[in-house]
Amino acid sequence: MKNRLKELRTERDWSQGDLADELGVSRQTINAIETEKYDPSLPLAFSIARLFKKPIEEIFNPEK
Amino acid sequence: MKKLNTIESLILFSGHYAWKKDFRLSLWLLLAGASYGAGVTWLRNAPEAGMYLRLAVALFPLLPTLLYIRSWMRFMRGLDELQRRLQLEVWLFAALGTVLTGVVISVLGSQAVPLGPLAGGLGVGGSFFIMLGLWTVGSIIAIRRYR
Repeated sequence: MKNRLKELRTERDWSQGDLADELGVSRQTINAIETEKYDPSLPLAFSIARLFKKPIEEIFNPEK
Repeated sequence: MKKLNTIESLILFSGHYAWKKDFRLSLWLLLAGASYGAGVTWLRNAPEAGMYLRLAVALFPLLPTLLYIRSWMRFMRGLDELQRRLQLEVWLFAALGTVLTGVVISVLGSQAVPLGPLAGGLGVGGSFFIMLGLWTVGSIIAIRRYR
């Protein structure tokens, strides 16, 4: 699934570790989502959307 | 920061590993190994002991083993979703690899292939070390894939 996680993270000058700490997951998880090797669960996707104050479909797009 | 005890932090010593949590996990394994070793030695040297006592001594290692399994389940619940999936994949790889190794050794043994110390099968110790080795290999593959 395509996503804008890296773009949103770098806009805020956060490292993968910073974002991982905010979300309570490992840095590996953030890296795997950004490189599209792993699709997050629905609760994690909602946490990401809440953190960036954006609707889920603005961050994740399965059709792109 | 919450310490997630990921495979990566364990192997790369990133400083984010909660050793106390791991110590609790390993303690039960150590106790299971020690009680198994002590039990086997005692059973070998006390052939005159009653059947129920021998049974109790032989089965005693099951208790710390069950507690070890419970600790692993708690440990898994404490992981994040990707790490949990990685651990499940790694354990599956290690378990199936151990079964396959046992089957291969059994087939080779039935064909009269000289297997040296493995002639009687993998045994408890052999199975444990094969599984540990495969778990380590699987973990390294998982770390490299999701670096």
